[in-house]
Amino acid sequence: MRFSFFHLMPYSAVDLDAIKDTAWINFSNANYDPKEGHKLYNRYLDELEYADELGFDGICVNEHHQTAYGIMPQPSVLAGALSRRTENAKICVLGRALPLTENPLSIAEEYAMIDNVTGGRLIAGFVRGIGCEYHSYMVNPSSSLAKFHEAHDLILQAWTQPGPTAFEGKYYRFQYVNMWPRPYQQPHPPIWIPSQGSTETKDWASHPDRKYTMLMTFSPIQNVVRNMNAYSDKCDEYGYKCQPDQLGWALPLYVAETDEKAIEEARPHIENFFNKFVLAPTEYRMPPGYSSINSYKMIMENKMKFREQYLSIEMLMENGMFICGSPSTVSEKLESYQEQMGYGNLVIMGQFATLDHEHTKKSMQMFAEEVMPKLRHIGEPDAAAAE
Amino acid sequence: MTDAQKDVQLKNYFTTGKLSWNPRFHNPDLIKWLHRIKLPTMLIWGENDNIFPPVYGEAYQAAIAGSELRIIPECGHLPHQEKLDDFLAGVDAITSKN
Repeated sequence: MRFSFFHLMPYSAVDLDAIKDTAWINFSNANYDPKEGHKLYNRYLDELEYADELGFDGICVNEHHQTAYGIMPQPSVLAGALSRRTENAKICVLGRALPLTENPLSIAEEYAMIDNVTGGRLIAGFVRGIGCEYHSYMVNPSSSLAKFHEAHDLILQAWTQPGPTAFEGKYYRFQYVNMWPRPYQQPHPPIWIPSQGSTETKDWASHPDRKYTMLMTFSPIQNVVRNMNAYSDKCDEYGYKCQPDQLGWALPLYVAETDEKAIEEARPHIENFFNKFVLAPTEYRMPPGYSSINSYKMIMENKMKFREQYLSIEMLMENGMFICGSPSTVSEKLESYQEQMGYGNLVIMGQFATLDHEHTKKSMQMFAEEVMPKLRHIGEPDAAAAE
Repeated sequence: MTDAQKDVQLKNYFTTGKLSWNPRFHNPDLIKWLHRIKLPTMLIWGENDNIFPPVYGEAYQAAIAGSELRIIPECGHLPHQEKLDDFLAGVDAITSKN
């Protein structure tokens, strides 16, 4: 098992009462104080660097726009800062939203630079960006999937084919694709696809030409299990056996000395996360055309309905959207879920919403020292299949 | 609502998004072209159109020389469906005049 520490970098100094219907898109940035932001950016970078010291295999950042939920609209800036301050952990950008940019080569360049500076520690995440971003950036959601695929093809061409080459697509056209620098890792950095489990993504990511790691994010456990199993089934259909490192699970997690203490310490913060920071109307989260009609109906049924109610810590734990407890409780749950799903990558969000620095560090340390060693041996690649 | 009706509703919703996302429900270049219309023009607008309020009609009228704006009371975005008789009266007025 590989363990990564993920940070959303929420604007935790926000006045929670100011968040009425949404923390996204048009939640006014008058609610953002740059002096608080300065402190938070540096605190959060300290936490990611601490994860490297503790022996996490990866440290992760990601991209969101116009929201208190996460103040990382340009994650490569922070990945660049981490490149020189960490030594061992992979730096995972989970990910850059390809369809939001007019020129995907800028993403190829950012990633290649990080990969060169770190000597090959980059994990390159490609996402479409959640629905809210399509309102913030005014990108037509109906072209999102097609632009994502075309941008991906362009980036892979830039990374793997000696330049200059030409690229003629529907959305992007370049006479001279000839990127300097080329990526450090050959043929290219590992690619992860954070996903909410759409059929289109599973079929595409699991294709034998790609075999990209699908990272299931922040979903009820029955959805995570169903989607990971569907991904594995798709691999079988394609004629190969899915390996654990092709599957990842990302979720908030908190560890303390006892189950009771963990729940008491995490309660206000995880409830703030799911009931305040995540808050956005359905039309923000699911703009028309962002997914196929079938996927839209499935996500509405399986995910959005659950989020329409106030989510208590008990409900979140019961639905497997949050793991919380003593080291032994957390280890047992993760091992049991791993048996059901076969994932080889676990990405924990160890800071969420308003959780303070001291509790974040305490939980991180306990997880690294008392949970990771117990689970290292599971979720390893099948040696026979790897050959 | 049946599942089939829900599918139609979703398809309409998706198509509307596709056609009108950005620029949002308008053509920013239109104002540069409207002045070239030289034919007699009747603008028929619903008084209670909440999608494009009558103020848009007023701007069109100002841009098209000699045009007439007819506001239909108690009518929304679709005069030809909501107030068919008033709509046809407007059509008659412009066609009989010319």
